[in-house]
Amino acid sequence: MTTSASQAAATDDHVARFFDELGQRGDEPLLRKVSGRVRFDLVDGPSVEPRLVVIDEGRLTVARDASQADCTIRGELPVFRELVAGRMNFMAAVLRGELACHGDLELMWAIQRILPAPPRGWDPTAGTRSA
Amino acid sequence: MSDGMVKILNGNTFVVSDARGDIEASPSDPTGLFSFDTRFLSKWVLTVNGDRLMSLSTDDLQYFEARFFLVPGVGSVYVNATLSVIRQRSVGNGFHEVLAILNHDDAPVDLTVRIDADSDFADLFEVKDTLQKQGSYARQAGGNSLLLLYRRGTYARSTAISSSQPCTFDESGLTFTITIAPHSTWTTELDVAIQMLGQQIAEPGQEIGGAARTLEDQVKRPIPDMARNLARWLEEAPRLQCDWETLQRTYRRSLVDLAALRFSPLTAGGNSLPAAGLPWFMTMFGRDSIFTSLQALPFTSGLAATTLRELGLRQGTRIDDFRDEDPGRILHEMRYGEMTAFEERPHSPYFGTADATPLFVVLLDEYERWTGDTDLVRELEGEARAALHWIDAYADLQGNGYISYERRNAETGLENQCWKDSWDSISFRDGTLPGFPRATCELQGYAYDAKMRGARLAREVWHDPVFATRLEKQAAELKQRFNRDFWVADGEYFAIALDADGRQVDSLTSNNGHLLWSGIVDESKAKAVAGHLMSDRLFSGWGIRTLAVGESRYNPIGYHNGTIWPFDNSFIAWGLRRYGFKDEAAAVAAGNLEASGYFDGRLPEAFGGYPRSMTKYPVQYPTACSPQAWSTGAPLLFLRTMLGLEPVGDHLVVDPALPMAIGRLELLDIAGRWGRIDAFGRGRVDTSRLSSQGEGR
Repeated sequence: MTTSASQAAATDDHVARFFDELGQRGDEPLLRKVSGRVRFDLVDGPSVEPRLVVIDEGRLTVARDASQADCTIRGELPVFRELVAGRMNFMAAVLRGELACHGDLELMWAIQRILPAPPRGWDPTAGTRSA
Repeated sequence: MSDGMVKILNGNTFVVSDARGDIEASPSDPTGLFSFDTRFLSKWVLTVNGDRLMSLSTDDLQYFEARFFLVPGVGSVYVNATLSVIRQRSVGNGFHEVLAILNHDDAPVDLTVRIDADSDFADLFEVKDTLQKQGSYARQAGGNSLLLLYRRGTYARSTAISSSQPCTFDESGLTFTITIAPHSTWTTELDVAIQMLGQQIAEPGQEIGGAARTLEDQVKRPIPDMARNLARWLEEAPRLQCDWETLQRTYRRSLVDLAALRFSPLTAGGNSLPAAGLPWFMTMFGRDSIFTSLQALPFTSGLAATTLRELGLRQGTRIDDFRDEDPGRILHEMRYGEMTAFEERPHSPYFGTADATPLFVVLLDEYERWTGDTDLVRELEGEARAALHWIDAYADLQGNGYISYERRNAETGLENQCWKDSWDSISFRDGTLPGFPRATCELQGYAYDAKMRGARLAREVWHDPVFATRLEKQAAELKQRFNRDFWVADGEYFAIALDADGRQVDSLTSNNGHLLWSGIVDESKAKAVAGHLMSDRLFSGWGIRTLAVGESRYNPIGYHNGTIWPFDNSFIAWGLRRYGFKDEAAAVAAGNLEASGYFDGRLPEAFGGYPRSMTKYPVQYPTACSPQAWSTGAPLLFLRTMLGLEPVGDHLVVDPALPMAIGRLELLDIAGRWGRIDAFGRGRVDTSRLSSQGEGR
């Protein structure tokens, strides 16, 4: 997961764009029953970029806001790059310790629905896994 | 699992040791302390003055605690018979062990007491398949504890061992150097605590306040008051009184085992759902959790509510080929171990099951019929609609109006996505195996039932009569089509499946019974189907075989090709009852319940399909999984079926048809939307006349 500086800038845009588009999505049917505040902490070296997603029965607003949340999800920026590209499974990343989740775990299960599907035929460990 | 092993558990944490309480795991052996699909302790061996101990007796006090009575020395000659050792162990977050040594002598005694400890942190999948670890180990011996650690990148798991009495910790265990006065007892309390998720990313000061909990905090839940919890569980269940001691014992065993198999996901706020079985399957399964919840509904409805909520929360939302996930699909299996964490296995969760999704709707309706809890039906409206949509939009792989399955994850996905999931379970009469996709018959029954029940919920709770009418129309068309396409005309039964070319996979199987349960069978065909189920080819006298005698792959100890599955039989009996075959249902129930008497009240996953007249007793299938949830639930569903318990509106109809062996039977305080009701019955059905294999009593 090493990327050169120029690539990093480009992929950071992907993460930023994902959250921008999430805010513009407005209504998310998969979160119709859900209300709460989820803060994503994007860790980039010494700095942390917060994205606060406020859900009100499926209506989404997204802000750069480090204030309190019902659930926080914290991880290194490269992890989020993979997540927003659909190349990494959210729950596996939690079990692996690459994402640290605090607070309301029901909200955690719900919010991972906003992440995109992987590319068709995607096998994350093809060729590398033990039999 | 080898004999003489002592198993204690609490949710998905369990300890398997030998009769001495020692753990010496080999790589392929499921002994040790396990939690969240990971082995946290693979070695735990007690010695006194360098000698291993010998077991005098073991008490399984409760499913969550055991007591081991030991003496020093090996073999029949005691090295020192003036000492006794008692280990009492209970499971919580890890385990707690009280170690007591009694000096019966008139003189004081100096002892070196040693416990060797280690962990391989194996994923349960690795134990099953004997795979190699990729991470690194560390041991940290301190003044107060021994810490065993495993790390692979950000993945970290650890086990912390501590003692209430002073001891010396080294990297491979702990040593007590003690003197016990004459006729005195020395005691220490040992704690083995597990930790699942470290804090690699969180920083100090970033904690969120209030009642917020981390995943780690929740994994480190304190041991609840297990004994009181079990007592309350038993108290809340209906009371059974009957003349037949076997049934009394089996009922009690079922309730206790079901309590033991409860699993509380971290999202469930302390509520439980049934895990599938010990030791391999202490996790959430779509199919097993749903079937067990259905079986247990008249006895405890809480399991169903939690199962529905938790499966709904994890319902599929996207197309993920590695996980065989689709929008609306209900999961097959959730795992938490290392291989899942590194996406070497697709279980986070894995969705490769074709039956859990329609069964989710079936359970939701049946749950409401018993409890009247329309709030939950409203809460899960979106999930139920998505499940019904999945049947039409994603499960019809061949565009012929039937659910069929073919895995998209060809390496680590499941080939057979129905309950008979072994490689050779679906075969033609001549033994050849069909290609994929496969549309097994019971899936169509479940789909029919889901649509009919979904229609009821839509009309009565969601107030959407248009949707209800559409579902009923679809169901009627499916039923008509199914009775035409799956009916094996020259045999007068339903084929187990249609293959990829739409050909009938024509062997005679127990799946016909599930079709009766779902209601998809035309009335005109029911008599022939029931006749087959009760024939010598399928009914052994103990129960109904998975595959009929005479089929090419029939084998009385073939996993899905001739053995008898109590879970399968419980739904078949319910199906027979649904079509009015009360006596036949009673005969199937009686055979299985009589079999339970040979297993100390605990029905195994499966037992041999030998004719009853040949073996005299049921031959247990050599499986590693016991107790298993849906076998545990089977006697409960048999009771419901024999008593003819059926919710109708706000009432519970009781219409008993009990085998003569039972004598008088009372089931008291059956809870439901009617409050609490008692059911009474007297055994009048002569089950022996229903089968030439049955010998009467």
